[in-house]
Amino acid sequence: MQTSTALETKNLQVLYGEKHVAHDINLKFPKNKIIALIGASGSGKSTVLRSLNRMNDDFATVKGEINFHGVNINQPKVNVYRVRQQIGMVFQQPTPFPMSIYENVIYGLRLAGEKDRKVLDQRVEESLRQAALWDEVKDQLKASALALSGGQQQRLCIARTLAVRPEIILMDEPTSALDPVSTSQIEDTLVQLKEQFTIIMVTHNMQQASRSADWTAFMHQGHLIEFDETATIFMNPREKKTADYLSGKFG
Amino acid sequence: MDDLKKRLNQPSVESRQEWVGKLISYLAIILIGGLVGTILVFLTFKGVALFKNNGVSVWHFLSSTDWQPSHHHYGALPMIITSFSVTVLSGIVALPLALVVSIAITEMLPKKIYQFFQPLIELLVGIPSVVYGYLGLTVIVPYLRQLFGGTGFGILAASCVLFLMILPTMTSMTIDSLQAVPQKYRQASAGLGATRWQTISRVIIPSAKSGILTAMVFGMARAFGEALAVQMVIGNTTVIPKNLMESSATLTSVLTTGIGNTVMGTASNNALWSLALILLVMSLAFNLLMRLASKKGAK
Repeated sequence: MQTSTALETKNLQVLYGEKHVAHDINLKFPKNKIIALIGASGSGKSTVLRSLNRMNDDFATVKGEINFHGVNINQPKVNVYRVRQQIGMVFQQPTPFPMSIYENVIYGLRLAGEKDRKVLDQRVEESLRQAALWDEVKDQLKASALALSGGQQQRLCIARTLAVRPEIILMDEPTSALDPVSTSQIEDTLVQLKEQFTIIMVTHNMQQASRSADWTAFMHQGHLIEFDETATIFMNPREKKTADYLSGKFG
Repeated sequence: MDDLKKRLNQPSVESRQEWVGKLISYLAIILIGGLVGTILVFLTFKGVALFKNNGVSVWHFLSSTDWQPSHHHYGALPMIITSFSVTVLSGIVALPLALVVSIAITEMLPKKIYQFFQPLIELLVGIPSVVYGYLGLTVIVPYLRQLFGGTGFGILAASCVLFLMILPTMTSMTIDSLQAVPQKYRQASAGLGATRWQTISRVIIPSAKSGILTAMVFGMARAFGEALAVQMVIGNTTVIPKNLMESSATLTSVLTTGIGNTVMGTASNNALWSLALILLVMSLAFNLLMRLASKKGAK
């Protein structure tokens, strides 16, 4: 791999009780790229994604290594709160908190103890600009975030994650609850964002993967089948399973 | 064709059922509305009789501290003060405890513990107030007597009993309002690096604020209106209490004590109705407060 690695998993396994939902996942996520995880429902892609910033701690057993800056963050002694500040997460459903747009964006900063108004103001503008929402909301920052449309809410959630300045952003089907216009706005946003962030995204939408992702990993029944540059995966998959899935033979 | 036309224009079993259902619902609504209206009118009518027929001024009634119906002294201030004291005292102690218990049960402890506690709390809500009063009489009053001296009867004893009574109600309602906070808020907050405590204090409690306020007002309304349990432990002396351990009386306890000993239509009977009117106005105020609280949260 030419580019440097943002995050790497080694023999990552996830178990819900006795049930093995992900087997020996070895992935090297390249820096400043968009990486898509695709696969049918139940393939384990969301589970793997959520394990990457330890969101599965309370629900599942996660074995193996997740290396971030040379530290295996999948260890009990690692500070999960710091991990999640570095590896943020955007969920499938837009989840603005019932507070103002402004307060939503700085939520993570407030958690980290930031009090300087200037820093907060500046970070709000910067994050909302990066999430392509600034022009729409700049005059109503004090208004409730719940009044925004679904697409705006999701961009607000992206801004809220960006405001913490993570290195990596995990996205779990970020556009599946949105209409096509909002979806394409968010996809455009992602392409802008990869200059500064590494984005790992689970998607059910093949076009979305082929349009936005630089790399694509295909998972099937808890196994990683193939991981390559998106063009290779879509045009010339090595594995028959990948080809079958992409052509709609199962899934 | 003609047959279908006829069928479309004729009533059927279904349309008659709809009509009967509507009729029953409207009748029920009219009945309930009529009942509430009659109670309000009756109580108001009875409650103002003291001022209209017996020449007691409203101001005197509300501000005088002298309550001796046998000597035609009708000052309700001691009872008003005592009623508010027991309500506020029990509410102030019960609220934080209910909140902490609810947070522990919904946010921290395993689900199994909640499944164990929920029927228990609901059982406590349903225990008749006389049982709480008896408990107060046989356990709390003697204990307070030992601890502080005096008779043991008074505001403190009543507040303890009311605290025990409203705690389950407030806890149960607070749990409901915390559980109504969407699970996705908790995840989103954790995803931004929040600890569990940060999530609770910054997202969950603010989101459930209106429900928690409603639980508090509801509990205090119950405490304010409770008669029997309070009467059993408060001592029933209609003077302004100098401390929490002195025998006293609430609006409700004076009502239950006095209503059997007066003759309908006399001034002392009318005075009791006036106390009931104060209670009614206060419960309306509590209701209004509750509505305001839930409206504020919905915004």
